[in-house]
Amino acid sequence: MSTHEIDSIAALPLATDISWMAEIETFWVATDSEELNDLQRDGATAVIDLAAEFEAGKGLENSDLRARVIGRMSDIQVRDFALGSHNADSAGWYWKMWRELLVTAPCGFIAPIASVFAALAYELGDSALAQRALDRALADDAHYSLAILLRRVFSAGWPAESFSAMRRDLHPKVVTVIFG
Amino acid sequence: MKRLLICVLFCALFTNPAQAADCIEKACIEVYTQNGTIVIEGRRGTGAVQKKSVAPAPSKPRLPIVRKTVRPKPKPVFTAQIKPKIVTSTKKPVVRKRASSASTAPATSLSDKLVEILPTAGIACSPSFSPLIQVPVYFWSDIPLLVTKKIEIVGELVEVRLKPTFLWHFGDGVIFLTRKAGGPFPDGEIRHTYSHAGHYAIQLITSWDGEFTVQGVTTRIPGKIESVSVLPISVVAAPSRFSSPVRFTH
Repeated sequence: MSTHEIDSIAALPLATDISWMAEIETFWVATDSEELNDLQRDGATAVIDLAAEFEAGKGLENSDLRARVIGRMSDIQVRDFALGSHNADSAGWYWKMWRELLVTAPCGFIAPIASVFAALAYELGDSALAQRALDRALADDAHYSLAILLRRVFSAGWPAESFSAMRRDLHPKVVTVIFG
Repeated sequence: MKRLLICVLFCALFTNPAQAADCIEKACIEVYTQNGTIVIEGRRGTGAVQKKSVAPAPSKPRLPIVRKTVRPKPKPVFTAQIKPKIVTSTKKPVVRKRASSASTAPATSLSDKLVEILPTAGIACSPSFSPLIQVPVYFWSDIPLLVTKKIEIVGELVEVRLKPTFLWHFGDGVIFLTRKAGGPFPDGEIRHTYSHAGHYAIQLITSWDGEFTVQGVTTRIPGKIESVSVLPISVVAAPSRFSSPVRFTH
């Protein structure tokens, strides 16, 4: 990971800011919501919107969008969409985005973001950082299934290319569920 | 019957002014989606929601409006006969025509105008003729990535911003979601590689979402507008064949 000079993923003070936490809470997706699909679409769209902001170098300007992504990631479909939304070209700014969200996510919202960040770090060849991200995910939610699964995958030494291929295969199915 | 009439009168006298009280000092603006269009409704003063805005010519736009001059219409009719006025960013005093008995007041329902500003996506791909299997095909659409309009309705300037989301169905079960319009080789982000030769129907679902701003307050527009564009393509294989060696002679 020579391209990413900063690899600290410790929480920033913003993560415990009351107003920030309250803003993120408004984007929480309840599984029994009547408008669940609309919220999932909103979350998926927010992910690619924020990635585009990071691509344009404006990722830190729109705090509302960052809060929206962190909050909507509480939904499993949005998280799975996020897991497969990058490709080889966009991996760099997705890495920056997930890292930024990881260090500012409040308690209760860390596990999905840390898991996605771990997957991306693993694909980019930084398995040590990936394991640290999983530590954060499991510290936030010890039973978070994706983090447990990724821990097994990483520990088994799965080739990163196979993981990428699996993720690419899964992504259209997730998009179909949300937007189909 | 008499009691019923009294009740109706009571409701008419006391509920209507209360509901419309907020729309006297400043106009009430509603923006929403309906039948694939964006509808902007403006209301100023008391009475039912007006699709037509007719008021006596005031010297200043913010003066209170005399109630009786507004002619309510029970069923608003969307008409494209009169083009709504598009204003520039500098706010000028609104010149209003006095309502006449002939009622030639212009319609202020702006749905027709907003239909015009939401273009339908045209799809293109490269190579455009018989793309090969195992070779990326680049796709793009000609939709602008941001549509903004400033519209004046009942004396208020409404700024509407709409952004499209593109959902590409490549015809072989693969779906791709993006905010980008794509482009031809080599810059396009929207590309897909087919594994098998055949005929595929490329489907692009463009869904619009956005927000509007009135008097500095920005609100999300509820609902969505979706349009579907289709492009059939034929993907072919290019089989390699062994042939006898070619000899070059000088």
